[in-house]
Amino acid sequence: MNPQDTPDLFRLVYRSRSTFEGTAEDVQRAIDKTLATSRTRNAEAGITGTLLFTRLFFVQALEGPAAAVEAIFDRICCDLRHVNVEVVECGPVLEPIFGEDPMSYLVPDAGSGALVERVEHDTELADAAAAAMKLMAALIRPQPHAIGSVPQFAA
Amino acid sequence: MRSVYICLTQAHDHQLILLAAGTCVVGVYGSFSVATHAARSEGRSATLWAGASIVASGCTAWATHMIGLLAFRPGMPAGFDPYLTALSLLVAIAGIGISVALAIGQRKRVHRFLIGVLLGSSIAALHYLGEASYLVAGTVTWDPPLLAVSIPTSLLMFGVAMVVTGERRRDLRRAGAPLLVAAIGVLHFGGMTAMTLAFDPERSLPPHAVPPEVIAPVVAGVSLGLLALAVVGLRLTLQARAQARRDQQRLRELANLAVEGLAVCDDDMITTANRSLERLLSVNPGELNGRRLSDLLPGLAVAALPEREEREAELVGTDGLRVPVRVLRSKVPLGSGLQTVLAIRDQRERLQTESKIRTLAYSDALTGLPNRAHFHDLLAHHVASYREHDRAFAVLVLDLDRFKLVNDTLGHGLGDVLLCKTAQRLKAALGEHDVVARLGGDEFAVLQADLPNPEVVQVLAGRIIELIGRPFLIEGQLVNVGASVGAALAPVDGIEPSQLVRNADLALYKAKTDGKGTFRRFDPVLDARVQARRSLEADLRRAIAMQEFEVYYQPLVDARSGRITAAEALVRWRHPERGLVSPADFIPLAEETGLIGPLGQWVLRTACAQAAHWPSHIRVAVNLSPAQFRDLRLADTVKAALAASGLTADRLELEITEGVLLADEERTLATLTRLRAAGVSISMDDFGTGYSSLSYLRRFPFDKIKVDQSFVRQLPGDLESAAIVRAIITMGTCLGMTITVEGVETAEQFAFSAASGCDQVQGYLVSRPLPLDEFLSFVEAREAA
Repeated sequence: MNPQDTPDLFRLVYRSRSTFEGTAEDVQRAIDKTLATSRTRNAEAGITGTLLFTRLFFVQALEGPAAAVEAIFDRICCDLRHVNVEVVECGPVLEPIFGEDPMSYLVPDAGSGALVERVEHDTELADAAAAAMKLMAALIRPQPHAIGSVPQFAA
Repeated sequence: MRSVYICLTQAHDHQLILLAAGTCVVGVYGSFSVATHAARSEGRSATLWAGASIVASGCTAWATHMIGLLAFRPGMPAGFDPYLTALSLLVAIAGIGISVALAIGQRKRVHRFLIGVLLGSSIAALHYLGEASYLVAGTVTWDPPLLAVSIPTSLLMFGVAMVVTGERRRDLRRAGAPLLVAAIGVLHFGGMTAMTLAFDPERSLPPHAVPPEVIAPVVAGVSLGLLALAVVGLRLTLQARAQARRDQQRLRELANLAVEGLAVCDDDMITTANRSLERLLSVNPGELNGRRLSDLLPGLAVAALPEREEREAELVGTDGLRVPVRVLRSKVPLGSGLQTVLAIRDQRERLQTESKIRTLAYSDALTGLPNRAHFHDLLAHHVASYREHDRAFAVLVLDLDRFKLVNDTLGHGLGDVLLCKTAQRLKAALGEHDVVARLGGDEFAVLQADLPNPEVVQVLAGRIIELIGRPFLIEGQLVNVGASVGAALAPVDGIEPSQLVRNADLALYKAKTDGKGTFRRFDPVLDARVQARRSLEADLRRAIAMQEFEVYYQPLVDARSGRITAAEALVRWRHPERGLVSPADFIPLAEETGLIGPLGQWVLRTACAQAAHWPSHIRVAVNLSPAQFRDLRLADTVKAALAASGLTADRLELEITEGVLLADEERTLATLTRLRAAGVSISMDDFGTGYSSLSYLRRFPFDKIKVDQSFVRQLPGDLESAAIVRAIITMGTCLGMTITVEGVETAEQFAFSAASGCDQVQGYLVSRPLPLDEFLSFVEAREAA
């Protein structure tokens, strides 16, 4: 995307701890439902983004006009289904790095175990943040054509 | 009947009969139109026109009668008795006048009928007097049966005519005049027919009889007069009609100007409506005429409305539009009579304004949440319903941690957005029946409506702390605040609304002092502590007013010579019940409440005044609190105390702690400089504790450093303390400052201090703080030694 096209591009990445309970299937169903809602909402607001779920943590990236990101983040922060919301990155950017899908969904693959470990257990947010960004970038880049198609990621 | 017919057709001159009829019609019209004008007029002119009308009616009756007689052709010489003729005219006028006067305002039909009979009688009198005045050269005989029929018939007709004239129905009223004319006709022609004249050459006309040729011009004159009057009446009528039209037009224009809707009604039917009403119902001009009022204002019995009293109603338009209105009904004289006029005022704007005012009064303009007043209402309501349902509930009070910082550093605009977002998150945290309100500033309150168990309060508080603790993104900036929550549970922690809020507030206060971002439930111990504090505060205020304080002095001696060089003034509170209260118990409270201002001033003035009487080499040291430094007039206060006491400035030392320097350094330094310029010495108290930043010593040249007693207590055994004390003494000496060692209690400590090069020593070894007289004796004893 051309930087001139998006003079007001804003990125916010946060990490939070999931409070979803139940079997893996129950959790997956709940997440699918949430994803569907957020895709509709984001598409309307002109927002793109991606959600990483590590069974314990969510890491979500939002990219779009600053006001729209602010509005979506306000809603996310009113949601009681996750706790310990921590902002990993926040500020204006020149171009999006998390694709053009309203909300793609990433599930860590077999090769990303070490990074997941850091995302989940690093007590320093900055370290966890760096790990999360790296993990998301690794997951999103090798298969750019597959972004957003949930079945391929949910290995 | 036949004789009547013959009388009419043969015995009368037909042209004159027609003339009589014409005179009658013209006269009656003239009288009536003038009478109508009289009714429209007021005062003297009304009386005059009414009189004219009565005279004209009498004249009409008389002239008609006279022309009738003149039309009579008896076939023999005939003449008129002038006196009786004149009398008949007067009787007619008087009879009509009296009848009309009686008839005015007469509502009862029987009365009107009787008046009609009276009128008929006077006309009958006119007639028969007139016949009596008719003299012929012959004999007159009467037909009694015909008289017996015609006179009562005509009287009856007169009565009926008067009855219908006073009726409300217009068609009945219209029958009045023809009936009257017919009654006169029956009377006249009946009377004429009943009279038979027989020519008798033996009899001649009496000498005073006036021949018809003489009477005729008189009658003609009267008739012409009536004609003239009729013309006048016609003009008056036309004028009145034009006036009425103009009035109506003007009224309509005026009505159209009115903001209120106006409808003139005939019973339930609208006859006229103004533009405002048409606009209110969005209909075309004139479209409302003929509509039924009950269709427009269903549910409002217009006829039963008291006059001049406004009523709320709902106006329904043809398209089903419903408009809340106020309706005022009044009877207004319009044109010929009273009409019902409805004034209809549109209430939509007022109601909207009222509801807006209500919203403004009960909600917080920024967040849209209920405000403090509304919250108290809701709470009171809930307490009332609690008494019925007996279900526990809770009041939670919370405020934002670090909100002031956000407001101060990022601006009030951002602070406002933060409050709005906080309101959103609080709503997300609440249960279905819970209510959140903004009490003011960054303070919110929650009414947790239903508590199955006390733990749910903790859960809600936890949710609130979690949600508010999350970052806020505002205009691209991340803002982190937090919430502290205090709660009071009803009925355990109170049941009065104000008590619940107050107790939740106390719990919040505890939560904030225990570390922010926490939840505390009300604890009665909190309450007791607050009560104790409050009573101490009240005591302190009283003590300042009653001057229950005393100043004690603790001497400072020269480390080498042992002579007293100064004394530190220390305040003591002699409580009437509790005895001597320690400064540690009341100085912090005095500082918190601002009472330190007047108290500090009193100590300063007292110390200066007392020290002025001491030997001149003994100086006095007074402590100043940070709170006193916030007062910009401090330097002036000190100078005033010196001036009032006569103490020279070089005998006053002011002791400050580094707490004074922490806040607003620039201003403090300016004040210190002013004091020093006045000749007062400044000491740094309690040096060695706290930050003890050496930069203070560089930025402000203190005259004296007092080494904190915590170091002295360990002397001389503790090597670290000894090293620190020695270092401070060396540093101070190098900076040219006097060094005082405080808290010296043993001879070893004294010896160590003196050996280390300290200038002054203060402590129990020398003396504890003493009341003034004891201090003076102590000084005397020392000086003598």
